[in-house]
Parts: sequence; structure tokens; C-alpha cells
Amino acid sequence: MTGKDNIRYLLEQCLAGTLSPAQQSEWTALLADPAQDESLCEAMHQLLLESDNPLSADRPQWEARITAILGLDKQKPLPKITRWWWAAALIVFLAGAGYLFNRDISPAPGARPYLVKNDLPPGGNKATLTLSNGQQIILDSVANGTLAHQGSVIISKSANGKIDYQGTDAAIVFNTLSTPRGGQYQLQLPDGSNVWLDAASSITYPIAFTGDQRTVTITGEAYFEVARDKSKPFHVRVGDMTIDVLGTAFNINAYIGEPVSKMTLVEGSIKISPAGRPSSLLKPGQQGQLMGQQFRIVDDIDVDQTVAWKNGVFNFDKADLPAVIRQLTRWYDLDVRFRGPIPVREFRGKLPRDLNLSQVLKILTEMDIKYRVEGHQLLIE
Amino acid sequence: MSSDANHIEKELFSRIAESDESAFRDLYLRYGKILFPFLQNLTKSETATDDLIQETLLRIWLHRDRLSDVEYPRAWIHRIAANLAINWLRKEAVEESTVREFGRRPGQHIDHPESTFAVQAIRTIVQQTLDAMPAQRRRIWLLHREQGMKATEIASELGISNSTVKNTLVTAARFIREQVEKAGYGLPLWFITHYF
Repeated sequence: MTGKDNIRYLLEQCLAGTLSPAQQSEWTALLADPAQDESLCEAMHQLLLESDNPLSADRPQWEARITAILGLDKQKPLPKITRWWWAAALIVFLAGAGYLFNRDISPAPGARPYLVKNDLPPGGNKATLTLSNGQQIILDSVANGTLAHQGSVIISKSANGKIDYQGTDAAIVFNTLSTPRGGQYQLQLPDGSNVWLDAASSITYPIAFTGDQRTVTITGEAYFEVARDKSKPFHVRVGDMTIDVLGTAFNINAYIGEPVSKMTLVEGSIKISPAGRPSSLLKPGQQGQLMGQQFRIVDDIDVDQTVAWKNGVFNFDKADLPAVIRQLTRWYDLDVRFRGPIPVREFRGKLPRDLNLSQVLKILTEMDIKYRVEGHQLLIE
Repeated sequence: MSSDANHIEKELFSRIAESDESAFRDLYLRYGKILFPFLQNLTKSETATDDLIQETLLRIWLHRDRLSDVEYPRAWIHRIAANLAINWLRKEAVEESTVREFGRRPGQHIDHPESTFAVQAIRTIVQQTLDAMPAQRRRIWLLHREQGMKATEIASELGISNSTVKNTLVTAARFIREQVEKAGYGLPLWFITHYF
């Protein structure tokens, strides 16, 4: 073996714990020789590159460990002392360091406003794209242009907060786009359909719609504008439910944390098939509501309110406090605690989603609700 | 190495060069899961792996002004980790032969002199800061930090409220971080509280 191959071989044996006594002496001698440092360093670099396998079995355990160190693990009961306040500039951190916590929010494009102590920035265009081989691309701060290839399909970031798929390939291969809390993203599917993802949501879809059906799977909340193609019916799977679509615009709100899943039809026609129940056909302005096993259709839904999120707006008309809170927790990545019974209120009004939390919380004050914000905790008296 | 990944990594690096702590944390998340198993297999020691990762992160952060010129961030990080690992292995090999010669009992803790001045300095600052703290605060900090006790456990141990313990921990952590900051080592809080 050449020198380099031998070094690599010894390194591999060392990593595997299988050095024979003779090899052990060789390895020790290698380490003792500074002239070999460069080659050894290079061999390690190569092995590290090759060991980057997102599907390896012990990956989750290491991720869990790192997450725990960073205090991102929300299972831990202790409000982590490892939490810290992210700030646009270190100076803001030093001056304002009153409460400490961990954050996953990266800066939105453009200038950031000065953040007052105990305030939180709004969400923004954040998402992760997972390719068929498990490789993940964080879309938050990636530049516009080609992102990746999947066979002959080209995935590009066309604008801030939007990716699209061009071309076609025979392979049946799936990608997943997912948003964190505080994130949102838009996707143009291979057939030209547009999907808007709200915070804490995901969509899994094939890179190309081969075959005679178009099927995608979502979690959380998504708004669809489906491209007309009578020859290829479009289906959305969410939980145990399937929604059959014929060239329309509709909104699905199916967060696990929400008691009721809501499918709202804006335009066109959809058929909802909840698992084990007969299907129902919806007309524009109707909303199918699934609560556990119960399903019903509601007429004359305020469609504007349902899709407000996609238009960058909070619409709180006729919402009760829990409904308002749920929207805020997802967009601002908040945890909420109630000191006493939940105040009964009916809200009204609309607010832009790009406000800091403190400005949005003014509506609570208007409704005579006392609250406090500590880091990412909202405490309601 | 895909150019997309390299692009993302260069962006992380330039953000870290500007002291962006969230980028530094993303870096740790991204590379930690590759470095941890590699170093663990190499050193066969959890403590050593922790130390080496700490050193690697420290070097990146303390010299972050150099990061914006780096063409291949991944190679950069790998090399720092690899060099530190090689040094460790080298010392370990020397210690091993010393043990064989002088017959120390197996399982005895082997001390390695710190390889950077920064780590020593930060440890000293943390120690001094702890010494200067009010006794109760220091006690709570050490119970949490050294004994791994949770806030509720500390609260019942000392007969005080949960929220007092939590507030104290926050105050202590903040205070330590401020002192470390003043000495010129602006490290993220999670880094300090985990490694020091």
C-alpha cells in the first residue's frame, strides 16, 4: 500500500477498534511522527466527509445530545440556563440581557428593527427542504437560483420564500418541504400548482407527477391553488383523510394541536374522504370540519379569515382567546401559560403578521387581559 | 462536496464572523452530529470527545474574524478537529507507554494539559466569578451544574421555591457570561454553561 492508503487504513482500523498489535505499533509510530501530520489530517478529513450520512442509525442520538446541550430540547422541565437571547448585534445582547433562552430564529432578510427587552420578532420565510437521499437544505438564507437536482428535475429558489420544480423525470422520488415555528414558505409543484405553507407545517410530494394521479401529503396548514388537469386528479392526504381536488383553491388547517381540522374551499370543487366515512363534496365558501371521528360541513365561512395568513395578515374576527393564542404560538414560537381560568372574549380586527409580538399583544390589553412575556413564554393572568 | 452545501456553509461562516450566535449554534448542530461519532470512535472516550468538540468550537469562535475568507468551511472545521484529535492521540500514546512502564492502575484518570490558553483563562474567570458570588447563588449553581440536579430537586433540597431557583440560575449564568465577556471572550451562554 502506498503511504497515504496505509495511513487511511490504519485510521479506519483505529476507528473500528480493530488494530492488531502490529498495527497498533505502526499507528503509535505514525502519531509520533510530526511529518505525517498533514497526511493524517487529510485522511481524517476524507473520512469525515464520507461519514456524513443523514440516514445512519445513530444520527438521532447525536442530534439529541447536541440539542440537549443547546437547551433546545423542550422535553426538559427546567427553563434552560443554557438559553440565550439571539440579537442582531452583540451589543443589543449585552445591554438587554434580562432573560435568557434558546432560539431557532434566523434573521429575516432586510434590516432588523431594534428589539425591546421581552419582545419577539415575527416569523419569516423559513423552511427546510429534504431531498430523496435525506440531504437537507435550509432555505432561510440560501441565494436565489438553482438549489439542487433530482434526476433531470431542477429545484430553484425563484424569489424570497418560494421554490419551484422544473423539468421531469421518470423516477418516483419524494421531497419534503417543512417549516419550523415562525416559518412560512411557498412551493410550486411540478405541475404548476402553488402551495403556501404556514408555520410548523410540511408537505411531501413527488419531484414529478408521473402516472395518472397527483398526490401530496401535508401536516399543519397549507393553502393550495391547484393547476387544472382533468386527466390527472389531484389528491391531498392529511392524517387519515384524503381530499380529492378538481382544479381549485382551498385551505387546509390540520395542526395536531388544534382540536378541529378544517378544510375550506375558496374556489372550484373538492371531495373530502375522512377515513372510514362516506365522502362529502364541498362548494365554495363551505368548510369541512373534522373533530376526532365527527365530520360536518359548515356553510358561509369567512373565507377571507381562513386564508388571511397566506396574505400576511392575522384575522381575529370572532375568534376566542385560545384561537388567537394558537396562531401566535406558531408564528412567534411561543409557549403559553394561564394563571387562572381562560378569559372568555370575542376578538375582532386584523393585524399584519410582520409586527413584533409586543405590538400584536396590544389586542390583549384592549380586551382587558393582563399578560407578561418572558423570553418565549407568554403568561396570561 | 456539493456546491449547494458549500454555499450554505460559507454563509454560516460569514454570519459567525459577524458574531451571529444563532449561526454559530446552527454550525454546531450541522457539524456536531458528524464530529461526535467520529471523535468518539477515535478516542474511545466521552470526556475526550467532549473536550475536543469544545476546543474546536472555541477555536472557530475565538478566531471568527478569519472565517469570512474561508473557501471551504467544511474542510476548515474538519482540519481544526483533526489537528486537535491528532494532538490528543499523540499525548494519549505517550501516557499509555508511561503507564505501561510505571504500572499505574488501569482506569486511573489521565490528565492532559490544556492545549489552549483560552480554555485555561476562561476556567479561571469562571472560578473567580463563582468565588465572588453570594454563597446561596453559588450553591444553587453548583448543585445544578456539577451534580446535574433539576430546579425542582434543588428547590426541595434547599427548602426554597422553584422560581427562586430558576431566577437564581438565570442570574448566575448571566453574571458569569458577563465576566467572561469582559475578559474578551464573547462566548455564547450555552457554550459557557455546558463546557465550563
